[in-house]
Amino acid sequence: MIGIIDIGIYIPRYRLTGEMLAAQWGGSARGSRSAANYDEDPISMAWEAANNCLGPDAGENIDGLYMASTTLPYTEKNNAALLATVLNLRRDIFCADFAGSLRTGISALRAARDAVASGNASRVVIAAAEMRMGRPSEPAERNLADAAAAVVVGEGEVPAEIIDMKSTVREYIDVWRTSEDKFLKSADAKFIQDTGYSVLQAEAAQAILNANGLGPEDIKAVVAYAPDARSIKPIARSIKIDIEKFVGLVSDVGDAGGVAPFLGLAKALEDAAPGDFILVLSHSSGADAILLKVTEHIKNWKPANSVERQVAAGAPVPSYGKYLQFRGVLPGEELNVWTSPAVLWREEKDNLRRIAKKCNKCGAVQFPVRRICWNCKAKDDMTDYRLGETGAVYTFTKDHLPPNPNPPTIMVSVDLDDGGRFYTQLTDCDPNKVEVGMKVQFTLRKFHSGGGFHNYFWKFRPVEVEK
Amino acid sequence: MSLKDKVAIVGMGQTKFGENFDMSYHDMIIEACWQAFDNAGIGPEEIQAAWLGTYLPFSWGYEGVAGVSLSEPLNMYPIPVTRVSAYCCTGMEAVRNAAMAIVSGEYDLVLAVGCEKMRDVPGRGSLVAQHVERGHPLYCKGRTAPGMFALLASRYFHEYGIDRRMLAKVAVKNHKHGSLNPLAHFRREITEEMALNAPPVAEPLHLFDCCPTTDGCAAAVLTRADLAKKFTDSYVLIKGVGFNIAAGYYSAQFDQGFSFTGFKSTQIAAQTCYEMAGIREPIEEVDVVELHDCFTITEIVDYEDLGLAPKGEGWKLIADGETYIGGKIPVNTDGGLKTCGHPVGASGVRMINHVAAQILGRAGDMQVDGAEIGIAHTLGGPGAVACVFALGAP
Repeated sequence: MIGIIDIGIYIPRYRLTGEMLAAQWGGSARGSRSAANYDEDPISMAWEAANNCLGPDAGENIDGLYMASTTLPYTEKNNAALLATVLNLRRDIFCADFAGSLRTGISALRAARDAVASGNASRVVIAAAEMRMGRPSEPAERNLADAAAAVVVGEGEVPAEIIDMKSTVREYIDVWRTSEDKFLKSADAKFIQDTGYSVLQAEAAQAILNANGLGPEDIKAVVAYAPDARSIKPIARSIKIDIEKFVGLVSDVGDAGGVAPFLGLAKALEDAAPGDFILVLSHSSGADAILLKVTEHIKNWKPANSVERQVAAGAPVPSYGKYLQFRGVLPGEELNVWTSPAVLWREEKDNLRRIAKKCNKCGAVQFPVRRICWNCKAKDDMTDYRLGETGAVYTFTKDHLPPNPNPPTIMVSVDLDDGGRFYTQLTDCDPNKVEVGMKVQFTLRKFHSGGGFHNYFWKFRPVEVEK
Repeated sequence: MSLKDKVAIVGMGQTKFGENFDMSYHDMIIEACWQAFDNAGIGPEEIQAAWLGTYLPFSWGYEGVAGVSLSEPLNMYPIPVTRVSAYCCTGMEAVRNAAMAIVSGEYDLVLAVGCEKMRDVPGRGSLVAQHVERGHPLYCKGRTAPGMFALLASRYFHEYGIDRRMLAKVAVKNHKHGSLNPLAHFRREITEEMALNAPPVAEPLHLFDCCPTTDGCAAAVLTRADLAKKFTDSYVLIKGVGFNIAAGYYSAQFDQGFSFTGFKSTQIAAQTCYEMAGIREPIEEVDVVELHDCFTITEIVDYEDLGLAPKGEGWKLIADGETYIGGKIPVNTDGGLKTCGHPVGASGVRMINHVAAQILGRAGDMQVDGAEIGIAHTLGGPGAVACVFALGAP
């Protein structure tokens, strides 16, 4: 039985609110959509999502990682490899990037399912993340959401079996970005609605229902793509399934593009019972339909960080101006940070895998990694030791000097629960809430763009859910 | 073999500390050194060797990368000149190495200079850029000089129950002292309200908790104690010195042994210095103290690390006003780093010279009556490095 072993989603903390956009551009002040912090990008968000469905040691069993995004940080250079490294996956695995359309996430899911079915892999992780941008003042600005999701596909006691997958192709210009475009472009809205995603998804849905001898009444939940909550209605009409069965987060977090099917699937699985059929649809110049059947094992499945909790945890981005600066639409302070591919290569294990050393003589944890124990001076007598996830703030400062699009820079020295002390920035935190003893957890973030490439490292953020 | 009573300081010089936009690094070298030469009654041709302390050449200026930056402006060829660098202890390292060369017997008359030209770049272009743009690509990113010491303030507040109001008292005292010092960067008295209402820098530290970035140079001429009278009747002797590196640069804030309420480096340097000088109870035996008040919290933990107050009670000295001129143990009588400013390489030499001036009765409005034994202290990097000097009358 091949299916979904686990699913984790990540909705960034910030929300771009209707109030902010209305104040700036006029129009409705209703609603909000998720917005990544200045130090987040699709890789860091994908790490968060994957961390929500892979335990600290789960990496051992993973044979492949597919990173799916239309906003990959690197146009040339393997993105999935970086994600696999920060997840501390094995080095003998297959890492691939899926890009190009709203179907990236489902494309990766199909490929993962086929890889498992072929026997080439026993477990594959899909990580989808999007940070698409609408041009300031255009409707897409208030619709496009930043989010990530990760799915573990494998064989065995899966909570949701993948029963069937169907895809179609129909060249179609609805939403696009050329390689030069920063902002999403789209064709006439009514044209798209009448001839595009509704029709394409309905075709794929009908095909998979027919092939499996199912009718609309057999389906418990449908996850379909729509650019906004209103636009779900025509899809429901087209495939003749009760709109109440449609599950998705577009009204809560906005249009997360290629991530949206997984956000909906995660929500559907949270409410699912054994025997339920779930239909997942996506589209772009054609459509995909995935039919899942919930199994007995759903009873043992519990999300690490529920959809509901993440939706509720949102806080408004500090201001619209700051949002534009987070996204590089407005220039920030120019920095020329020194970095070195050679240093980063040498220290890959330390800095990206978070593997410190532990002294064999006295047990002291060493980070930054050293060869002579800081405590007992034993030389070259260390064992690898992966730093734990959580800790408590020993001391802190809120520093207004470092260039930062979202000041102050909160620096914390943290005593890790499983040993060692770590000093870095605290992010996604209300500065008024920081105090000695505060519980925090590691989060991967983009530190800077020194050298013209992305430099990732660990920050802390407040612990939201005790694991 | 100890340094005690073997080395005399016979000449001292210092530029105005401040935003010396009209002076180059070379101008400052010439002004401070010529004062020191005149003070010792010598010319540059009599100097046999020299040590130059500049913390970060090329980071905010273009001079100080090697001893040649001292030889060149002084046209002081051909003698050995060594450049030293030890974060904020740089100036004291120049004096300490010069003193050791005297004790070795290799030289009779040497020059120690500290010079830093920080304001040829904007304030953010110096120490902030140093941390943000240079160094390890990932470790300690977001760390700044005030941020390192603010970590102590947060922890000290947590453990000992004081708050920003106590830090303000340190700033008020040092501004009061600085108002008496014609060479200080800031010469304006402030009130506690001004300090408390100032904008935040690295919370809980606010503007008046922080020393500024400053240009300046200070120089000292050293000789063998038994030769001192040849130059002048008013000289001081080095009674003790302690210098050590007790932690790392990138690892400091990762160090599980670091309390963040005091510095091992200072504690050990003070102990070394006091043992050499024969000081048993510093609070009773020392008359005047120049200590490293890069930030107000640093002054409070320095009180404790230098043995002037028990652990956790350093703040009581300032609460009771005991570190004012006229108090039980006057501290930073020239205004300290807070108001003199902190041209990194120059500060240690400035402190030693000021303590010497106190002992010689030349401190003017800043004079502590009857000062005979004084100590000077610098603390460098993330508190990893410290140096303590004890000076006394012959």
